[in-house]
Amino acid sequence: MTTAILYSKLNYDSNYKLIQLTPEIFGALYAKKTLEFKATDPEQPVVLCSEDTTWILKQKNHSNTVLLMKEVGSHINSSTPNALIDKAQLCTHHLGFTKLDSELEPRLTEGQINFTSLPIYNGDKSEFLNNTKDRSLTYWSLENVKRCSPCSEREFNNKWHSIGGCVINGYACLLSHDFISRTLHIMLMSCMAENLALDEMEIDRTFEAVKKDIDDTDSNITFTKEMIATVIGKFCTPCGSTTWKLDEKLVSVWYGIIALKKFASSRMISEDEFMIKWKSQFPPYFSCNLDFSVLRGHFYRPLGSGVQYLSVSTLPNDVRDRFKHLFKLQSTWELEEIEPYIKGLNIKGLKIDSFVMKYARRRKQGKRTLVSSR
Amino acid sequence: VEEANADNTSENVRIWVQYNEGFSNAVRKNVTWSSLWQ
Amino acid sequence: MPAVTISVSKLQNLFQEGDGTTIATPLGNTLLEIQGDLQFPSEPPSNDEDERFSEYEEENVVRFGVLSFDSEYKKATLYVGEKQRLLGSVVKLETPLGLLKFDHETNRVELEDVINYKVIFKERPLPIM
Repeated sequence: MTTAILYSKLNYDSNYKLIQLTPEIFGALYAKKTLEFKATDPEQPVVLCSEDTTWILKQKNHSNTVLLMKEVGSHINSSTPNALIDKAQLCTHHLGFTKLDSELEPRLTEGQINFTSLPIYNGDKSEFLNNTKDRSLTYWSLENVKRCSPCSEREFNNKWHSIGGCVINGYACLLSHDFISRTLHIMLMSCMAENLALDEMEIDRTFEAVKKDIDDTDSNITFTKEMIATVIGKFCTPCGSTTWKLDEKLVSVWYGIIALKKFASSRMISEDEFMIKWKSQFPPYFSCNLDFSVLRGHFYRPLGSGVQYLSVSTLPNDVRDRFKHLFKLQSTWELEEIEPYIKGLNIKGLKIDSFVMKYARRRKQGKRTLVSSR
Repeated sequence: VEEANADNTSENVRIWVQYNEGFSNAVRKNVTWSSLWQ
Repeated sequence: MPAVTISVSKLQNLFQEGDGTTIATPLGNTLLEIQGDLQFPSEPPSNDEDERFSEYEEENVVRFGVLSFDSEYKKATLYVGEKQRLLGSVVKLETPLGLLKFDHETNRVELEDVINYKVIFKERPLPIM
């Protein structure tokens, strides 16, 4: 039996919070990896980041009194309390110093890069550098972008190149779609000309090959090693500490979107005709298998047969409006073809079938699942 | 007079637990950077 | 661009889980939970006959009760004020709680302790017999 005499501050210290330490967070702490709180700006949600994981924080309020008490020895100078403790063998003194009516609950989330205000680089370096005086854009170092992205370091590094992130003259920026297309095209041609293996690409050697090709022409484009690293990072998967394997699917999707924009944005085109146009976009002698289904999420079928380009970014953000808009474009969709246009709005993470049924009619036709308006 | 005084004392130095019949637990949506420091 | 690293300089001590025979962490912190509101005057009264009010490190404190704890049965009794007795228990937390201190002057965050146990009083207070 131990006995403790309890005291409380009349005015609690309000600088404390309790946070649930899940086994993963505990593990990160135990391994002495850093943990930090981050937010894009003061009014934005806070995330907790370890080296490789991001958690969003929820605040759980409760109605109980939760007092945190610290042991204070017997320095508190007030009279000995009543007879309750006289028989005790051990008597300690504890002072309640803070009262907590909530707990922070971390929930696993995917780290995001805050890139909305980054400048875009389209290949014109002098224009880009002139624009650094433009106050409406954010000319930051890569470190700064990292710091204000609600994202762990590892996730940031994995994602930075795939969103087209690059550093030019010390400024973090995004390479424009056109510039990425040009760089990818030249890079593939240069690698093939130099006989470099596309499943074992190296940034240095690829850069040398591209430079050689550019120097041979009187083109005024300049490529830096960082730009080549971005494009390699975007279209390849790492296969060694310094080598990269070209991801043919990513490349074929990229060229497929270019072809859709070029030949099927203002009018529809038959799928067969499109396949020929798609093939014609690649560098000469570049071979890769083309499978039309990889372009799901970038086209619709206005009359059920031909295809036409459709970017998800042009669709309404409200889920009902989006379904309505999609059915106006095309009355009946295959589930696989409508899915990429709507899954971003399935924030509760329902099964795709149940999500679709909330807003549309779904019916089976053989192996196909068809979705239409209710 | 003695009794009135005693009452007075306990009135001034009332220390007690006001019991809650239930326990409530509500999840607030997100925590912003500024609310983290509040 | 707000970001802050959580300082874990006290970490070495935080990972020694208590053995359950004491309710305080190795750093001396105890979490006390009561289903209800603990009430006491917000300022020291003029007639503090029981000498319940005093100062600790230049702050006003009140002696609000006594906790007795039976480590063998994990049972605890909390005497509050002059009249109430609460029966409770010591429970292990499903998810340990980190105690974070936010220092507004230095803008630093320190993980001050890791709490694995709490003393909880969920029952209606009983009179002191």
